This record gives sequence, C-alpha cells and structure tokens, in this order.
Amino acid sequence: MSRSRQYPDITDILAQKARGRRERASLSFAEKLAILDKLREDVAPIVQARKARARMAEEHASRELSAVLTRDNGP
Amino acid sequence: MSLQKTIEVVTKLAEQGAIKQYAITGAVAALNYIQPTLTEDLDILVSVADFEEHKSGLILLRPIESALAKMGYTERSDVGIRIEDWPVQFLPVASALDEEALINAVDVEFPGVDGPFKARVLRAEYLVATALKVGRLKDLARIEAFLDQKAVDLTALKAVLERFDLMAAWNAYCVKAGKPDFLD
Repeated sequence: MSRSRQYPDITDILAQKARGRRERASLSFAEKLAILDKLREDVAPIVQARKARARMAEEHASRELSAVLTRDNGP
Repeated sequence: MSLQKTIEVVTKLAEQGAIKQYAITGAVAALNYIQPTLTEDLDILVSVADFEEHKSGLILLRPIESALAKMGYTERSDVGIRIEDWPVQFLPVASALDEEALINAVDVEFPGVDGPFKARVLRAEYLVATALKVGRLKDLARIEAFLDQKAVDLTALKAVLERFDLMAAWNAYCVKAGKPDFLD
C-alpha cells in the first residue's frame, strides 16, 4: 500500500455532525422524550430477541449443570 | 404510553405527598441538556425520608409502592416499577453529592396531555459529577456528550467537583479521553 495515498478531508462532515448533535441537544425536553419513546419502540424487537437468547443460554447452562451433577453423583 | 406520562405520574406522587423531594436523574435527566440517547428506564432520585427503614437497616420502597398501587401501578420489572410501560427506579440519596444535587434540582415544564406540568430535574453539573463518580464507560461517554454539546457550565462543574473531591477523577478522565484540562 502506497504511503503517499491521498485521503479525503472529512473535517466538514465531522463539523456538520457536531452541529447536528448540538441542534438535537437544543430541542425541548418534551421533544427529546418523544424521540426517546420512538427509539425505544424501534429497538424493542432487538431487545426482546436479546432477552430470548439470554433465556435460552441460561436454560442450556442449567441443563448442562444438571447433567454434570447427575453424572458425578451417580444414578 | 409515553415517558412524559410516566414523569407526570411521578409528579402526582409528589403532589399527593407520597414523595417529599425528588428529581429525575440518570440518562433521562441528561436528555434535558444533551441530544437524545437510548435508555431502558427512568431513574428518580428521592430523599431517604421517603423510604421506610426496616429495623435491620434495609431501606424499603413500601410507601411509594403503596401510593403507586392506589394509582393502579403494581407491575414490577427487573429494573423497577412499571409506570405507563416504562420501568422506573426510585433511588434513595446515597451520598452528600446526591443530597446537594437533589436540593439544587430545577423545575422543567412539560406540555402534558391534560395540560402543562412541572417536574424536577438534576442540574447538568451534578449529572456530570455523578457520572464521573460512577465512572462506567457509558458514564464517561455521557460526560463526553455534555462537553461536546457545550451542555454544562464549566465554572459550576468545577465548583461541584472541588466540593466533592472529584478533581482527581476529573484529571484521570481528561487523560483517558485525551483532553486538555479545560477546567483550569
């Protein structure tokens, strides 16, 4: 890979993103709460899937532990 | 079901006298100052006098739970009591910093569904100081957001950090974040 390769200057993009963050920060509290309600609604399926995966992992670990205890303690 | 409605229910608890002194804290309080970020629950800082102390020293939520039950909110979730579909955690004042933060909380007005109402919210400098004290990665990210979005009065922050011996933690944060100490 060439060391002299030119990369684009993204200073403007970063400044624009910072401006956007400050603009959103200046919304009213009530407006931000409404955004948060929507964000929460949008990620709800992901949260539910994560909880379901955690539950399955817990059940699996519990079954494994039971199997080990049964094996070690004998029938 | 909206977070605004949840906050309104908390203000009703205060109106009824079920909680004497309260303020919204944590990620939702930070929303008053910085851009919206996702959170799973609403944290309410409450004076210790609002809790029932068991003879074992345990602090119980019973008075608040009873008042909420009368309003029809009885469901618990893994992170708190469910009010209008949002888990709400009532946190007792646990330090001198919490105590001062609660006293200095500000009133914020909301449009409300049935008319405007006011709720108490911790001031930015106390939220930053608390985040610094707790020090998890997400707390440090929150401090970064307050600074980046120029959402905290640095003179007020410095005074709080000095009063609660948090300057060493602040200096450590500046080193970790690769920032100059602009409180100097």
